[in-house]
Amino acid sequence: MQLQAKFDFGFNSEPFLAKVGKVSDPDVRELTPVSTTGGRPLCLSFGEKNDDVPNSVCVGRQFSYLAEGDIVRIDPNAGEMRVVFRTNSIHNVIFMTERCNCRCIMCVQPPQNVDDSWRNRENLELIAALPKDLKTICVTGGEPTLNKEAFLNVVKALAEHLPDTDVHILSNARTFNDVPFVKAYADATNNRFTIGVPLHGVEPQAHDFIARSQGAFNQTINGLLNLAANKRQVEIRVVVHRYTAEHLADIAEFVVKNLPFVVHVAFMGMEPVGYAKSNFENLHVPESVWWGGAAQACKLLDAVGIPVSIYNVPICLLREDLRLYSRQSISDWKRTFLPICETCKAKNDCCGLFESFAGLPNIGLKAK
Amino acid sequence: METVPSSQGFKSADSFAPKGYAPMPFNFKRLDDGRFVLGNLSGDFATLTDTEFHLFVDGKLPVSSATYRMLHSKCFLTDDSGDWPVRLAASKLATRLERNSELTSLFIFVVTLRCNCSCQYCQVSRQSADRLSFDMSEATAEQAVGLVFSSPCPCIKIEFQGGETLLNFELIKRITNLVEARNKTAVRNVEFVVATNLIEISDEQLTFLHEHSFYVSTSLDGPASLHDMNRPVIGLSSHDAAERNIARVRAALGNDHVSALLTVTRSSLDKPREIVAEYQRQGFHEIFLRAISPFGYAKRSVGRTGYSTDAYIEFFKLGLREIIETNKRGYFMAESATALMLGRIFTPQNEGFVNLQNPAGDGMMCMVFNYDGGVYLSDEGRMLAENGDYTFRLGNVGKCTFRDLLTSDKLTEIVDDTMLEGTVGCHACPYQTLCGADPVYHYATQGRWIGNRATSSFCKRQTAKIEHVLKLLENPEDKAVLMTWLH
Repeated sequence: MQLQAKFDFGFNSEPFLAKVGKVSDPDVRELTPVSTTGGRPLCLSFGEKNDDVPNSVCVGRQFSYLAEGDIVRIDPNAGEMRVVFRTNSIHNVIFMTERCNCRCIMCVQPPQNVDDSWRNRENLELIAALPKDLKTICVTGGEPTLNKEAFLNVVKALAEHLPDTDVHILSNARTFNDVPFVKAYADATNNRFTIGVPLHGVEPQAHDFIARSQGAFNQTINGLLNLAANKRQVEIRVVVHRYTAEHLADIAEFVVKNLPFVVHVAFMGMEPVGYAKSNFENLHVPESVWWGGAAQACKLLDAVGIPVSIYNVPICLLREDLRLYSRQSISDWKRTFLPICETCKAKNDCCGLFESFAGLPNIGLKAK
Repeated sequence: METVPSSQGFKSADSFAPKGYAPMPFNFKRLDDGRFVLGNLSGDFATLTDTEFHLFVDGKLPVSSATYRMLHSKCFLTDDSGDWPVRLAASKLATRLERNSELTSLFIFVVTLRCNCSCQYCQVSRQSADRLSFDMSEATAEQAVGLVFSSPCPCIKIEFQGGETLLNFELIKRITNLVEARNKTAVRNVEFVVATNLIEISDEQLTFLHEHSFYVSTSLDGPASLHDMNRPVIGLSSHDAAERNIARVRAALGNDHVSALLTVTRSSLDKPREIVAEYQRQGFHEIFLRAISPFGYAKRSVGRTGYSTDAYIEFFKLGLREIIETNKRGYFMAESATALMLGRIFTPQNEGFVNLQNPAGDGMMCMVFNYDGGVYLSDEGRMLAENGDYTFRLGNVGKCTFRDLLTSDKLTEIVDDTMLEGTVGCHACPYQTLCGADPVYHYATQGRWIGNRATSSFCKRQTAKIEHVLKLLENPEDKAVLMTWLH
C-alpha cells in the first residue's frame, strides 16, 4: 500500500494536515485543512485533472483507498503528500521522532540524528483531528520519549481527546528511569495506555550488545519497575534473531520471576528492513532453531496467566504447538502473501509476510 | 541531545563486559559432591561447582562467562552496569512479603467435634455422633463472624472443619448466611470450603453448597483396601461412600469444586503407584503427598501408623516419580507441595500456605474458632488443645477483639521467634524462601515452638524435598512436566 508520493500542488505554503471529506464522486477526494497554520482546500482527482475545480491535483489511482475521515499531510513546497491517518486501519501511528538512544542491531527504522521537533506541533494537530471513536493508536519513533516534554504533551492530548482509545506506545523505557518523568506520565494517562518495551536478554551484557548501547539494560529495568510502581501497563517485546533465539525460555523465566506485572509478552519475527536488512545474513536463523525455546517460553507465560503472542512469523514456519500463539500482527499496509500462499488453507489465520521479504530468498514457506 | 551510540557494524561483545563485581547477600549449602546451591532473599537459586563457587566468592569469576551472567540475572551480584539487581531483588522481596502484611485470610470454624468415622490417625479426639455438647453454639458462631470481618484482608476464606462438619449442617448454613449478609457492606472476596469425609451428604446439602459456590475438601487415602483400613466406619466401606459422593458433589458443584487430601500412613509407604493410580481413576488432578501429623490424638497411634522421616522421604520421591510419569502418559496431575515450591522458585508470589511462612503464618494468616469459642492460631494448635495443651490458644471469641488476638503477647512472641533470618539453622539456609517456620509442629515434636533445626524432622523433610525437586529441574523432560504445574 502506497502512503506517500510526490505531486505538483501548484502553490507554495507551509506543510499542513488536511482531512478527506464525504466521498460523493469515486474519482475525487475533497480535502479540508485541519492545521492552525493554514493550508488550503484541495481536490484530489484520480482521473483527468479537472480545471473547473479550484486547487485540483491529479494523483494516481493507488490513492483511491482514501476514505472519509482519513488525514493526509501536504507539503506544497516539497511537492509531497503523505497519508498520516486511515479510518479503516487499526495500524495508525503518531510518529514522534527519528532519533533514538539505542542502535539495535535489528532495528527496522534506523534512527537519524536529526532535529525533527517540527513534528511535535503537527502531532498535536493530528490528535485533535482524530475521531472520538478511534479504537487504537500507536505512539512510536525512534524513541518517542526522548523529548520528554513533547511526549507528555502528546499523551496528555490523547488522554483528554480520546478517553476511550487504547494507546500503545513503543519505547525502550530507558527514559522512565527518571522517576519524576514516570510520575508525570502516570498523572497524564490512564490504564488504556500500554508501553511495549523490547527486552533482548536477561542481563546487561546480552541486552546492551544487541541495543548497541552500554547502560541500556539498567535503564530499561529501572524504567519498567518505575512504570509498574506507578500502576502503568507494560508489555515485553522480544525480537527473535541469532542473538536471542537460544534464550527465549530464559527470557520468559526472567519475566515471570522479575516482571510479573507485564500485561503481555510478544516474541517477534524480524522485519528485514533497516539494520535488520543490512545485518540479515548475521541475524537470521531458521525458525526451527527456536521452536523448542519458544514453546517452553509460551507455555510458562501461559501457565502463570501472562498473555503471550508470536508475531510476524507465517503459520507454516511455526511448529504445530506454537500456532495457537500466532497473531495477525503485520500492519495492513506492509503485509503481503506469496503466490504459494494463495492455495493455503491457513491464509486467513496467518500474519503473512512483510513486503520487505518479497525480494529476499525464499525462507521456506509451504502451503498447507 | 543525548550521546548517540554507534550504528556501524557490531561492537564486540566484550566491549559490554563490566570491569569488576561484588556479590550480593546470599546463603549457600552443599548440594552434593562437588556442587553448592545458593539461595537469596529474592528467592532465586543457583547451583555452582566447587570451582565456580570459590572463583565467585573470591571475586575472580570471569565477567563474560555464562556463570557470571546467570548469577547476575538472578541477583547474586552487582557490577558497574547499574543498580538493577538491587531494584529487582527489592521488588521480589516486597512482592513476597505483601501477602503477610494483608494479615489473616483463612478462618477455620470447628462446627462440631462429633464424627461418624474412627480414623486411625485422627488428630482430634472424636466424639460419637450424638453428643451435642461438642457442637459450636450459634452465639459463638456470631461472635466469630464479627472477628472475621475485623481482619483487613481483602480475600477471606471460611473453612468448616470438624469432627464431621455435615453433622452440624444447620450451623454451616447459619454462618454462611451471616457472612454473606455482612459481606454486602464489607465487600471482601469470600470463599467457602467445607471439609467432610463424604460418608453421607444429602441432596439438600448439595443444593445449599452449590448455591453458595462452596469448595468441598474430602479425604482419599488410596485404593479401597488402604482407605478402608485407615478410615474405618462400622457397617460400610468409607471408600465406596466417598467415591459415590465425590461423583455427586462434582455433578452438583462442578468438577473443580472438590479436592481430596491424602494422609500417608505406614501402610501407604509401599503403595505410591496404587495411590496415584486411584487419584487418576477418580479423576483428581492434584494430589498432596502429605506426611502424617504427629499431633493430638494421632500421636497416640504413632505405633500403628507412624514411620521414620527417611521412609517418608523415600515415599515422596517414589510418589512424585509416579505422578511425573502419569503426566508423561498424558494425564495431568500436580503434586501440591511440589507445585507450591515451583511457584516460589519461578514466581515472586507468596501463595499464602500457612505452614510455610516466614514469620510463621499461624495467627497472622490463619485463625481457628473452636466449637467451644476458643481462638487458636492454627488447626494443629487446636488439635493439641483437644489433648489438654492450650499453648496455642490466643483467647476466646466472646472476650477478645481481632486487635487483642493479633497483638497478644503470645502471638507477637511466636512471630518474633519464627523469623527464619534469626532462627539458628535457618539463618544460613539457602531455602528460606521455599520454607517456613512451623511453631506448632516443633512444639509438638521438640517441646519448643522455636525448635532445633539440627534434630528437626520438619527441617529434614523439607530440605530433602526441596533438593529432590531442584535436581528434578535439571532434567529437561521432568522440568517440562513440572513447569505445567505452575499457575
